[in-house]
Amino acid sequence: MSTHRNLIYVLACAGLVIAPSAWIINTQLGQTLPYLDCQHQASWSAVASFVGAAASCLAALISWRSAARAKMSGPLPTLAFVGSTSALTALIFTFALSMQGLASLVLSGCER
Amino acid sequence: MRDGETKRDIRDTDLDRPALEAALARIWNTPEGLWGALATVDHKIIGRRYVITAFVFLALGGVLAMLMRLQLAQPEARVLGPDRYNQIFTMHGSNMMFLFAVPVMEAVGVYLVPLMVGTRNIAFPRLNAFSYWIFLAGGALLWISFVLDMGPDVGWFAYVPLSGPQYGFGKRADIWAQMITFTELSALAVSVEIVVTILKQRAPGMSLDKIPLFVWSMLVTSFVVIMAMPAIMIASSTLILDRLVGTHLFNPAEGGDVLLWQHLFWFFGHPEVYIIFLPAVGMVSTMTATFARRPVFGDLAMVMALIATGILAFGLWVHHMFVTGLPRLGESFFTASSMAIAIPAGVQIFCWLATLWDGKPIFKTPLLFVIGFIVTFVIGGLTGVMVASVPFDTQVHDTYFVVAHFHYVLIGGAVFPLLGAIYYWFPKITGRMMSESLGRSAFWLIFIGFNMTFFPMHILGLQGMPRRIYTYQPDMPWHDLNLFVSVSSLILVAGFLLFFFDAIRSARRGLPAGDNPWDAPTLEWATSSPPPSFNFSYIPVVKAANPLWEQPDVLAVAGGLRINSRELIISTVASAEPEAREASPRNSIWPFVAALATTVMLISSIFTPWAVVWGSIPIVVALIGWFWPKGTPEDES
Repeated sequence: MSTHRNLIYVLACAGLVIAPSAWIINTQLGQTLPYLDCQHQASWSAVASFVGAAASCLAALISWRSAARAKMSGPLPTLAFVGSTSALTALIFTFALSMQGLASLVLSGCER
Repeated sequence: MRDGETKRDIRDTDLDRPALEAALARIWNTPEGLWGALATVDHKIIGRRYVITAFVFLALGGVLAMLMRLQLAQPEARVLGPDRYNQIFTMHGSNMMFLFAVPVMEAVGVYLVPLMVGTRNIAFPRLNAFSYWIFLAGGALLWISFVLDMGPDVGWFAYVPLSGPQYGFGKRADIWAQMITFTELSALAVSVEIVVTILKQRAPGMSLDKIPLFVWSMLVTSFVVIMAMPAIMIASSTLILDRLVGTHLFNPAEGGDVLLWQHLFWFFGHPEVYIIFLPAVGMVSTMTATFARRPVFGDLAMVMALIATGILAFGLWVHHMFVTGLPRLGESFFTASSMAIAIPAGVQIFCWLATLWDGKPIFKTPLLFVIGFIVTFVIGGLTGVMVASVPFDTQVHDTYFVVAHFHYVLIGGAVFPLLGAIYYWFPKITGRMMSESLGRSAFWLIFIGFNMTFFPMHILGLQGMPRRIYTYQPDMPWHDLNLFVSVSSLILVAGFLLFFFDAIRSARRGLPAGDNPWDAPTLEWATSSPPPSFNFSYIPVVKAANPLWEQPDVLAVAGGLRINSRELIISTVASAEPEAREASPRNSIWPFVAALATTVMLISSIFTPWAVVWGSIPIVVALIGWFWPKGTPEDES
């Protein structure tokens, strides 16, 4: 029971951990990949951003489902709160990552 | 045994209320006199000192601002020379950011967080005392240097190479860098205390979903401080190394990197804006709920917005560096994040508007400041979205447009809520009410004066007036607006003078406030005004997010704490279930001594690197005294 509960807590926090991590990694990649994009005429920045956005969106879904399960399975308001907050936060990062991806489609990486 | 401690184990359940309060007062009171003042670890006394000191720095910074406005009111004015003007705008920015805005927000947290979470003192109270003395020393260093004509003249960001050994002559840049060390050390100490207080000292039952929004805001802010401040401490320390030891970390001729400074500075500098703004979000949420007579609409979304803002704040720093020649695609990532952060900010604004819309708002002075905040901050936020765009930012970079933007964000986003918060919590802190009529007058003077002063600066910026110029030629088209701005700033000053007058007068002769004059819902109003040294006679048990509204007459209490020594309840992080009883440190002179030793070391190290070696010895001695086992219950837990 305790392990199960811990697992639910971990899943509830997925959005809070995975989404910002994806965004941080992508922001760092955004400082190096433009050079590669320009050199090889590729769109690595866009790919990285959209992969990050997908991961972030998935994390939001996991947290949301975890919160919903907590609400159904009994009086766990703290867990439901953590899951919901986590899911909403992840959606913000999904938006930020999507914007970064769109910017990568507009620019080639060679602009100075 | 000291401070009334006895060996017999007496619990709060053994005594009736008057006897209990007398016993608690014996243990928790700060002794009268100079020794007590220097040795106190009471979070309320230290928080009050922080707030008052920060407001003194605000007033001094205001005087500098007025001197600048006097100089710029006319073309080719000769009130100030270029060197003194450089010192003044550097002092104004550094003072307002490092000695007023951040410390005052943390100070309010130091005072209120333990009360709002229902505990008897902040975590690590001696560190708290140490942090105040260090902050005071940093402020004194900056201002005494300025009076001696050694004030820094390199801008509040101290860009290299201007502040480096090649161009920054004398000790001015070193004083700026060491002031940073003082204030960031202080801020880091307070942040650690606040994080631990919130995560481990909450009243039983105050689970994560029942934490007041102001406490959430201080938790997020403290994490942001812990993540951001080391960057600027590294920057200031390495600058001193370049200047004093002869390293070349920022010297491109020797393999260093000038842009490294900007990255380090703005990695701290941009989150700094949110370090100032997020506590204001908490203040506004608290006041809005109280005066709208209903809980904040979408409190879960508010928490999400606080957390998202706190994290996104770390991905915006390059928008201060759009003209440094970085790849455009890399810059666009920061534009994306800068615009994304408008989403949580917008969520907050709509939550407050919905709260007011659905509530029955009572337009007392604090709520007026909240409304002033919303109007002003939205304007500042919109110009923020504008300067997040690279092409626009390239046009207005280093112009008065940016000056207008960040004053709208910082004064609108932090000072308006802060003034409202002073009116709101003044009765709790002093036991007396501030004047409603003077408060309304002060609000209107500040609101009108602020907008008349800073809105025209947008236009000046669009007309091309650069920042940080000490004068301009008569043939430039800026004269009329500059004169208008300078005259308008007098209205703003009048508002602040009225506010200070009201605060000082009310502290002495204000009407008695009672415990909860606003009928507010959070725990700080469950104790007397001003609160006793032990905060609560009995530790409350929380069963609702707004305990004084939802359980007003039956606020349950937790018993079993020892009252012959300082003791607190330690609770679990998520659900705040009681875990243990923990001793809380008694008053001690050692934090003051340690701060004194640290001050001597840091200031001496401006002149010789050997000061770090020899100056460490008194610090070590002070720390040994601080942590020396005393054979008291404090050491047993």
